[in-house]
This record gives sequence, structure tokens and C-alpha cells, in this order.
Amino acid sequence: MNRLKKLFTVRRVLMLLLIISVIFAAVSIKRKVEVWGFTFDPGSVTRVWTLEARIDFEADDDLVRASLAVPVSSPGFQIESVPAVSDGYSFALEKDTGTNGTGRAIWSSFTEREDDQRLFYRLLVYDAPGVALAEKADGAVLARVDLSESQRAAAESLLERVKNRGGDIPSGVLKELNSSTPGAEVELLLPGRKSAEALCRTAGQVLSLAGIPSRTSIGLQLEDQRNFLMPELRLEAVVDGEWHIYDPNSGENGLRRGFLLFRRGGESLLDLEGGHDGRVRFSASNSAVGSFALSPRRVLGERLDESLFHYSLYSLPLNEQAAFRWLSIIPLSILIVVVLRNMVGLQTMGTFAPILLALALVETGLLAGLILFAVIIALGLGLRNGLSRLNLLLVPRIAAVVIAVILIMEIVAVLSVRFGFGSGSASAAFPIIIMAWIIERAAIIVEEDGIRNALRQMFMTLAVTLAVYFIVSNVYVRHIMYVFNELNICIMILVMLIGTYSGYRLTELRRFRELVK
Amino acid sequence: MSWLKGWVTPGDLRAAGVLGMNERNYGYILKENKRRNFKNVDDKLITKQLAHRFGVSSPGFIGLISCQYEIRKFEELVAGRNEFVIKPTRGSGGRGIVVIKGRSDSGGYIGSNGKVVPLSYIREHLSNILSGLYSLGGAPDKALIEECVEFTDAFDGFSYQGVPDVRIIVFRGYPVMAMMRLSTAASGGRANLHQGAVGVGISLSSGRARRAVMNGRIVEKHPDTGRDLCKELVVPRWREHLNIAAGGYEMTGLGYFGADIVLDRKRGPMLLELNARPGLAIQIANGEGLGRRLERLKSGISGLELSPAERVDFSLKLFSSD
Repeated sequence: MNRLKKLFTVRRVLMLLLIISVIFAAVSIKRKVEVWGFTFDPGSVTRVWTLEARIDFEADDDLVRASLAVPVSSPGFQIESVPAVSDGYSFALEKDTGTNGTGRAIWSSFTEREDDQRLFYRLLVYDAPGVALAEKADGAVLARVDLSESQRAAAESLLERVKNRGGDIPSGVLKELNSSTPGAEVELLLPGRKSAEALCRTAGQVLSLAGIPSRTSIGLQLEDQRNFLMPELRLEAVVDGEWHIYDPNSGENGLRRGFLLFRRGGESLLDLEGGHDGRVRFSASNSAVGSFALSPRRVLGERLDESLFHYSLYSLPLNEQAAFRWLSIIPLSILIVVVLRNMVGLQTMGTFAPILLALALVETGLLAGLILFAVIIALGLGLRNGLSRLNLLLVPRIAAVVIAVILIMEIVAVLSVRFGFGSGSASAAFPIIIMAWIIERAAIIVEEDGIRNALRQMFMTLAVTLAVYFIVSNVYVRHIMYVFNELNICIMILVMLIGTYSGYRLTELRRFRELVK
Repeated sequence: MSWLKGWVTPGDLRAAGVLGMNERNYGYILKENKRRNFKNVDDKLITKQLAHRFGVSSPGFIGLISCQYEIRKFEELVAGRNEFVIKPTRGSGGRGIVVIKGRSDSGGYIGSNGKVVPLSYIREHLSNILSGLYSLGGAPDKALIEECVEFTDAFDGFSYQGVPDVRIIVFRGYPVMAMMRLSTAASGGRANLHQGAVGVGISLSSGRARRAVMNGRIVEKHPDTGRDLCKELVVPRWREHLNIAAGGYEMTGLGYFGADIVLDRKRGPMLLELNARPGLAIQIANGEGLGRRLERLKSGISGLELSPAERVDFSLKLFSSD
């Protein structure tokens, strides 16, 4: 029993809790970074592309129905469609028709249309790591082989060579077809220009002979300096039961960075009824948005972890989040104050005054804030000195000081704007009640313990305030403490652990030096 | 490494048996004292009542002012008296205490430093006390009016104005360490060491001065009166001081406290107040760590219930060498 008691001392239990909370925080932070896309860097941005598809066609004086393949999801991207409004057409977005990751945007005209028609479809696309490329290839069927006897023989001999060389077969076939010194087989299989389309078709036939199902996909390579984008073809083939994507011009497996898959599988890009000569033109522009600001759209858009996110701070409206941004920096500030008081041994006027003062300094800026602080305290002390002669009761006297502090702040604000010393509302950032109490306390210390002690305490309070300020004013610290608020649990337990610290304070190493022989 | 001069390591302090602030708070004030017993010492009125019940002498009670309208009754309370002390009942560190030594011709009073204290000042002061300006945590408070102690002349020349009092640390009813606090001109007649009063370590066994310290430095003589502190200072009726301090344990139920005792010319040692958070400067005054003495007591005392006098005997034997 006694042994058990020894094992569960307060300190040990807190130690254990601290370890648990650190592990929890680590797991939770990892999840937030990987799934929610939170970052440690407050300045980190995500590129957001605005992609526009413009469809031009000639209407046949008939009811028109146009259907465009559009991406719903694409590896490496998060996609958000913007409702398209076109005059005289109704619009609908059908998701998950046909193959995975694609949908169709469908416009239907209300009446018969004639002449040139133009429709727009707009998408917001942004980088989103962690969306899988893999797609199960259940029920994939082999393409029908449509080759002459000699072509078939050439294809089989080419396939033989690729298989003998080993490695990825689709990639090998495409490399053979793209060879800069093409053999007779390639000439036979693929006469003329090696367009991506022809390469895909021929490679598909060859792969069919090898029993590998294949299909084509269309996508866009998003690039910074290009406004007009040409759709590019990709060959997909089944390897180990999953669709793999190949660049038909190089045989390269996988997607290059910034490649947005527009549709996968064999569907057409544009279907037109009641029109002809349909053309689709893509243009794109990009901008950078803070990664953190984008995360709600990312999480909710992906339907990942939706319920957890809904119950997190980050699902609150932004203006409400702003208040919690400030609150979530306070635990760290408290930790600093606790360390400076209980482990270093500094004494401050009021336990939490340094924290509130430091937060005020963050709003006002350091130098302006310190000058303001000095001015307000000095004027307030002068006034307090006058009030003490009136023999007022304590609470009304402090109330008078509070009002005086407000008036001083207003005067300072007006003067600082008139004479151009920075922003006028800066002084309003100071916690008025705290300032009034500091003035009251300082006045009493001056009366009782002399000016020297008052100055010393004021100096220590300012020193602690500055220590808190330098940590709190760091944008990284502020961002991390808010975005990864599980750290506050660790801080809470750490503060409790310091509550059991019974070792010497730093200042005691000097105070009691004389007792050491 | 010149900047390290004047600093010692935690190991050095531990070896010297020095009690640190955190250890005092965590290991003694929190662990040895039940929370409900704090009021017995934090409220001077309760302490006074307890002292009366236990037959411990303390300064005579004149009156209590517990709400603002009673301030009008102040003059009635002190009618016919020239000397009295006003104290906040829940004050700490001697804050808010006003000592009146006489009446001035103008209808006011004269403070312990000889200066005139107008009645209006006293009224404001009483009002401040009631508002909680001097109380722990700023809670509303009461003002206690007591008789002045008539100092023995045994300490003449050892103190500049003010009351020389003895502070004795008591652990589980056993006296541990003692010091005397002498006010100076620099301390404004106050007996607080951080304000510049002189702290004199007092030998538990003999009541004689061990050494004297002012502002953390050893001094031989009182800075204002020039009297030799170490050779001449002896506390008369020392054993009675120790008995009163040890008896504070039964009075309050606290396992760790400091007893402040003054010596009255006629009535002998009197309990001035008890303190649940006695400061650590007593170690500097004695040139010795409290921690080691506390450890020795912890391992030395038996579970037997002893009377205060028996506990004093025990302590005197244990710390006979100082």
C-alpha cells in the first residue's frame, strides 16, 4: 500500500500525464498537418488556380444539350466547382457518373438556339497533398484488337522484347514506340506523325495483346506563366489490379507535379446535342492563399474527417476565431510568468498583469507601447497623489483612477495622431483596470516601502512583461499555439508540474550565497 | 567568470541546509498546515481570541472597527488614551499598521516617529483598511485597535524607534530558529528586513545574539545608535518567549508558522501575532540554513504528545550548540 502510494506521488502522476499529453499532441499535430493541411509556417501559402473552360460551338437551331467532362477529384489537387451561369441555359453538375474522379457539367438550353454559342465553366483548384492516385481496376475490359496480320506480328515481337527486358510493360511499350531510332516494327505499327492520340491508340492495342486493359485520360498541365492550356492525353493501363497513368510521349509512369486530371477513362471531353463544331479552350490564372485559411474548404470539400473538423475551433466563423487566437497565446504567457516567478524568483505587481501588458504591447508595438505605458503610469501616479489628499474611500478612488486612465488614453491618442506618432487607438489596447491597479499599488509601495522598492518592483514587472512580449510577438509562436492548440494541454500539465517544484529559485542562489561556507 | 561571482550552486545551498522559497511553500506551508487553520493566524482578531482562551498574554484589546460607519466611533474608542496601535486584522508583512504615541495640540495624534498624524489621515487609513487595501487578496477587512506595548528598556539603544520583536519559527510545535528584528532610520522605524531593518540571529539555547545582518550584510553595530549588537544583546526571559512560541501550535493547529513576540516592561513576553508564511531571511540573520534544522527535527521527534514546555526542552537539547 505504501509502495503504491510512493509510486503515485503527485509529481510522478503529472510526469506521466505530461508524457501522455506530449504523445497525444504529437499524434494530433501530425494528423492536422497531414489531413487538414495545417502548417507550422503562418506565411505558408497554397497556390489556388482559377481554371476556366470555354466552350464554343455552332447551334443547329434546335434545343441544345452540351455536356463537358469535369474533374471532381484529381491526385494532388482539391477541386471546387463554381456554379456556372450562362444566359438561356440551365446548368447541372453530375458527379461520379462513369469513371472515378470525374463528373459532367451539363447545360440545357431553354429554347432553340442558333449561331455561335459560348459557355463557361469555372473551377477552383488548389494543391492538396495526400489524395491517392490509385484506382482499383475492377471490371476493366481489354480493348478490341484491330490490327492487320503483319502489324500483329510486329506488335508481338515488340512485346516480346519489352517483356524480355523486364520492368514495367506499359512504360516499356511506350518507350519502344517513342524510340528516336524506330525499328521496322514501330514503322509498321505507327506510321506517320507520333501524335499522343496515335501513341495511346497503338500502345493500347499492343497492351491488349499482352492481356493488359488500357484506356486514355485527359488532363491539363498547370503552369505559372501560361494562360492558355492545351488538354493533354495520358495512357492508363492496369498493373497489379490498379490503373496506372503514363505519359504517352515518354512512357513515364505517374503524374508530373501540377498535372490536373480532367477525366479518366474513355468518356469524351465534350458531348454536343443540337450543335456542331464544338471546341473547348482552357485558361488558368493563379493566386496564393494562406494555407491555414484554406483548410476548412479543403477538409470539408474532401469530406475527410468532417465531423471532427466541425467540432474544432477552426470551423468557427473567422471573426469568432480571432478572439480565440488571442486566448490561445495566454497559456504560453502564463507558463513564462510561472517560470519567472517560481523558478527564477522575480516578483511582479500582480500575477497576470505582465501577460495583459505584453498582449497590449503586441498591439501597440514595443517602443510606442513602452512610452505610452510610462506616460499613462506617470500621469496616473501624479493624479493618484492628488486624490490621496482628498481622503476618498478605496473603491471610489480606484474608480476615479480608472476614469482618469481612460481620459489620459484619449488625450494621448489625439496628440499622437496630431503630431504623427503612430496610430491613435494604440493606447486603447492597454488593460485599463490593470493599469489603474498598477498605479494604485505603485502609489502604496512608494508610501510604505519607498520609491526604491516601488521602482524595483515596477522594473521587475516590466522585465517579465518584456520576456512575455518577445515570445508572444513572434508570429510563428502565435500561429503554432493557435493552430496546434493541443499544445495548451501540455502547457497546463507543465504548469502543474512546476507547482510541485520545490528546488531553489535562481535568485536564491545569490540571496543565500553568504550561508555557503 | 567574474559574472558568476556572488552566485552559488543549488548543490552548495543544499549542502548548507538552506530552505528555499519553493520548498518552504510546498514542503512546509502546504504540507504541514491545514487550510482551515490558516484563518487562525491570518486574522489577528481570531489569533487574539485564541491567545486569550489559551492564557497567552497579548497586547490589550481596545476596540474593533468593522464597517465604514463605525469609523465615526473611532475617537470615542480611543478616548482618554494617548497610545494605541491600529492594525488591519488580515494584513501581512506589517503593512497598514499605525502606531500612535501621543496627542498633538491641534487635536491630532503623534506617530511613533514623532510626526503629527491628523485625524483625517487616520479616518482615511481606517477606511482603506476596511476596503481591504492591506489584506491578503484585497478582501474586505476590519481594523483592530490595541494597546501599545510598553517596551522593556532591555533593548534601549538596539532599535531606532519602532518595536524590537522576536520571531521564532515553530515546526510541529518545536521551536526551530529565532531572530530579533530591530528597526533603523533607513527602515523608517519599521521592523521589516527588506526595508532595511537589522536582523539579529538569536541563539535558541541562550537568547543571546549570534550575529546581525542588515541589507544582507553582516553588521557589528546598530547603524543609528552604535551599540554593539553581538556582544551586548541578550533577550531577557528567553525561556518564556520559547514557551509562548511553542504553545502557538496548540492554539492554531498549524505545523509550521512564525511567532512574533514582544517583551513588555510589566507583562513580560507577549504574543504580537502569528505568521503562517514566515520569511526566509531568518537564515541569513542566523548564518545557518533552516532546512537542516527542520530535517533534524523531523527525524528526531517522537510521536508522543508533549506539552509546549517539554517540546522546548527537546529543541534546546537538539540545538544546544548554536
